[in-house]
Amino acid sequence: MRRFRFLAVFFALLFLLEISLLFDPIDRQVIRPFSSVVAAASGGLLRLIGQQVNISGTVIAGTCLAIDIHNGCNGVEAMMFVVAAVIAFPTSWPQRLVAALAGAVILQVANLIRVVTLYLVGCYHRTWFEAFHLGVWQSLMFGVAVAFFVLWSRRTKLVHAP
Amino acid sequence: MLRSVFRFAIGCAIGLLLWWYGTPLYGQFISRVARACLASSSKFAGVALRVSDRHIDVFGGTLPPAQIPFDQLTYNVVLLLGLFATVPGIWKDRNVGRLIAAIAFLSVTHVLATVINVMATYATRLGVWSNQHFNGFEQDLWTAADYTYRLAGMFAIAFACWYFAVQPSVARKAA
Repeated sequence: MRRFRFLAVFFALLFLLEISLLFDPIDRQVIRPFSSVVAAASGGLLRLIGQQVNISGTVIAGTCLAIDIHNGCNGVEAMMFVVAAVIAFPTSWPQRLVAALAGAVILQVANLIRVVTLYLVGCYHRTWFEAFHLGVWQSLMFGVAVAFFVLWSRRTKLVHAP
Repeated sequence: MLRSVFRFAIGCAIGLLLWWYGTPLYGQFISRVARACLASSSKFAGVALRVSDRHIDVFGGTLPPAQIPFDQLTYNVVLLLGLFATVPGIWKDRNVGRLIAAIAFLSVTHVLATVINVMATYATRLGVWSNQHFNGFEQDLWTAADYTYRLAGMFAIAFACWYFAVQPSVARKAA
């Protein structure tokens, strides 16, 4: 029965978090600036490994490919997944907060690797791009999110509601 | 830990091959069920769905033609198989039954996702036709449903199938 409760709270929170992204002020004030930071960091990494790219807002443009970072590519969706899961899990708020922050950092590191490898795949193996964009990297991002949640929940002290 | 990562990678690889090469055939099955669901709506009387490689073409009756990116609605099978592959003894009878049940459940959600995507496409992306046949509330509703499914909902469904079916230690703790 409590498994149902966990999943019900998880889905309700995830739904609310996702719906919030549809509101223009949130998109304009939070998501786009955040995506620009992701683009700048990813572009910086690509330059470090010798790629000639220009960064303009959320777009990383090189000689062979241009990619636009937006929802679905900025890691926010996987962060929301972890936030919803840790809040739905019955433990204390400080533990939830630490887990949400740690999960966000880990997922953003994974997302940087995703954007960089997708750019390289798009440049050098264009025919693989679609499979990597959807099938490989989205699954890996959520695989990391699930792994983080499972490992954290196994080590976390439970707090039962009175 | 490393063994789980390796198993996850193998499961994802199998899922990826299945998704990539199986999409056209799987689309035939899903589009038939989705067509029956859509035809129950008066707006979609006479609707026809035809699989075209990794897309579904929607046409028929008085409907303007549209194309649905079917492969973008089903790739959560990669995560599902990756997660199930981490379960020790996955080939035991009980776990195989759970895996089959999870895949069956996922297929039901793929039918719903296809219906939702068709609705969202016709509600918002066909200009004047959309505004004539869908009011503002309907447009927002189908857009929100499509968006929440495709952004993280589809992965949450795969996670929930696995969590509920074969993750007793986590589930026990959550309980």
